[in-house]
Amino acid sequence: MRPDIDLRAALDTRGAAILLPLSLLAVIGFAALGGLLQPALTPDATSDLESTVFVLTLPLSLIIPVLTVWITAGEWSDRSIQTTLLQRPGRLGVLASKCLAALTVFAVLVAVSIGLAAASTWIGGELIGEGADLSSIDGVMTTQLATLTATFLFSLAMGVALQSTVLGLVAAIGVPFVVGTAGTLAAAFGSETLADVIRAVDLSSAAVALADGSAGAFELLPLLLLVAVPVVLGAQRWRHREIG
Amino acid sequence: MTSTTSSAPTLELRALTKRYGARPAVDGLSFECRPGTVTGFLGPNGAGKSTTLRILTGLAEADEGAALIGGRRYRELERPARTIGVMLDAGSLHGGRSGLETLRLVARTLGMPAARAEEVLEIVGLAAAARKRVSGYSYGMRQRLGIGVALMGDPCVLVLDEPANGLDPEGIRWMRRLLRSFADAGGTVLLSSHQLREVEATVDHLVVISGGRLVREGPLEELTAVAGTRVAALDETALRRALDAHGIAFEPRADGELAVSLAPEDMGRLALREQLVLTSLGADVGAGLEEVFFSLTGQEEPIADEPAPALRTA
Repeated sequence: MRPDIDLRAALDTRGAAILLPLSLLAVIGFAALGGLLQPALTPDATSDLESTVFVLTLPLSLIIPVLTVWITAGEWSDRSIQTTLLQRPGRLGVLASKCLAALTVFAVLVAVSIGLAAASTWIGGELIGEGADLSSIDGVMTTQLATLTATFLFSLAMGVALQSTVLGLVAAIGVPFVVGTAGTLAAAFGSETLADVIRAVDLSSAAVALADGSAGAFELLPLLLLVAVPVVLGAQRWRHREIG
Repeated sequence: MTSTTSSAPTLELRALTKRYGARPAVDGLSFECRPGTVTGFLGPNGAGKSTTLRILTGLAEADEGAALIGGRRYRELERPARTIGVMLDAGSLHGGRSGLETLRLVARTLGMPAARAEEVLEIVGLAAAARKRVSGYSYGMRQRLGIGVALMGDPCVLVLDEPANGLDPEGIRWMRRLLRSFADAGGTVLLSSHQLREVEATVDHLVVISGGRLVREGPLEELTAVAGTRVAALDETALRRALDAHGIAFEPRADGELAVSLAPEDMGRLALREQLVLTSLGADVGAGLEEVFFSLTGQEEPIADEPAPALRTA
């Protein structure tokens, strides 16, 4: 496994030169928006870390799928996978390496985002407002981080399974949106059957339940259906897919 | 290959078969490429050349048989690019990197020093375009970079698919010299190409396939050597009748003579026995690779005077 090679391969292209600064700008912008504006919008004029991170999850729910699918499936779409596999013919090793590279980028991105959120919350609360509440970090870990991890895992699964940047992105961004909308409709209609079906594919809710310790066996079903099965099928396809 | 070696591995295909549905793309194909030779791999479109090369390089899996490099499959080689340099499709190079970044990434992957990238850029004549992005390269420049990627690991085997495509005359001459010197230093080269004149000028061994099957294999000189005898008689009808009677194959030539699959002395004896007056008799000159290719693959040679379909007038 050479995740360093895959990281470098993903980061030294023109696409990366455009995408990464844009992502960083979006994260900085939303962190500032969340942390600095809170005192002006809340009745007690304070700034809360969990709220800032919640605002940050908006761009991150797009940035994480884009980067993850790009790292795992990008070479299939631009055909450079041929060059990669000619030099590193151990296909599962390359796949595992790309997954590690994507995990590294995700971890760095989330760490930077939470760090920026904490900084802007403190600046907004202490310097502009009436105080900053950084004690909600537990909530961040059990809610926002769990949701972002679910986004990452589903994006990874789609990149591995579909091996196409376009299809992977459509699935990684579109499916959670459809599931979220369907969940809202199910609640509005009060249909328990529909609600159960949606729970079975609602990875974000399952991730939150798993993170706060309230999950039962049912919460493992979305993990199985949306992550484990696509990854296993994708790995099989990755091993045998013809190139050229 | 920077050092002369006689221990370059042999490429060996053993009864290789690959089917897509019921259609065999490669059908029991067997041949060898030995060190010190440039082997031309020829066949019409759809003959199975690219499929064979993909199987050889681990990009596709064979249904039966094996493609071996020094007795091992490509995927079993440790750091295969240090043994076998491959250029199948220059379009697979990432357009978002510069030529230098492309080769540096390859160097890092192969465990070669970073300076090897600059060295190879010089070798392939792209030093001036080192920092230009590959998406801005011409097709010929991409071909050169693709050959550069193949050379990065200092391999002792080269497998190239249509390397002369897009190269200008100087580039073609450069590639010819490169392959020749590579083989002369003991390397093994397998070269697939449609450019028969280039193949003829570069290779010393030929493998011709058609419909996924081996049609002919052998040294270039042998395949393009004397093909038979040219003969003409006062009574051409009697000559044809005599050849038919003895079951001897013949074909009319453009100059009115017949090309006969007999040695000249045997043709002379036959004429004597049949009391034919010959007006000309001699060994046929060696056929060009183009003629050999068309006859072996069962394809019709295009007629020079016939306009291309798009140019026909109504």
